[in-house]
Amino acid sequence: MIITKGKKKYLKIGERAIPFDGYDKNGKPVIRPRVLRTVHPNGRIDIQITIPSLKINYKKNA
Amino acid sequence: MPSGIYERFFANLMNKEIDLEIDVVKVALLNNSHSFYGADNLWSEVSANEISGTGYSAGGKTLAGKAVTQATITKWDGNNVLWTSAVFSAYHAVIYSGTDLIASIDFGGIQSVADGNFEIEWSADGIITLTEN
Repeated sequence: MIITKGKKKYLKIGERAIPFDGYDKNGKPVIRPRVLRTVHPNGRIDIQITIPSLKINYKKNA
Repeated sequence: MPSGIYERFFANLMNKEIDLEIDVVKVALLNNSHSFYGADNLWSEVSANEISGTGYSAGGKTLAGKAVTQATITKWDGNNVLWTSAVFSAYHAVIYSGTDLIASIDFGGIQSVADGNFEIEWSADGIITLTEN
């Protein structure tokens, strides 16, 4: 289920509301990885990538 | 499609060919020649695009802490994967077990680490979830 708060859209899965970035060509919500790039004064660079869950969806029969 | 689960994984689940808690699962990093095709089956079909660099060993890292949690939203999760003192660039991560592919993840562009930590942090929702649509 998709909910909207202000201009942001969220995909509601169970009790969680996950922000998403738009829709793919099939009209499904796209959640992209979030990248945190930390540049240290000595030139060292750390990368932390948060990966959204890959979802297998099913539909219950009525 | 930038990220996704390989068809082979679904078949392996149904044929009891994979145990996501017991089997060795690896996470490898790939370059920008890699694309996700759901019909690819084997690690050997994509491994030519694996990266190389300081702090990275061919084949990738073994995923530790694998656990399946049964619930309304059933999830498979694992520990974050960390490369330290690393100097390399990557565009994708591929998850595989033995010879068979599980999933491919697009980082959304080049990610370059310089003598630092390169960490993949899985969502709190799990690496893969099975949920009612």
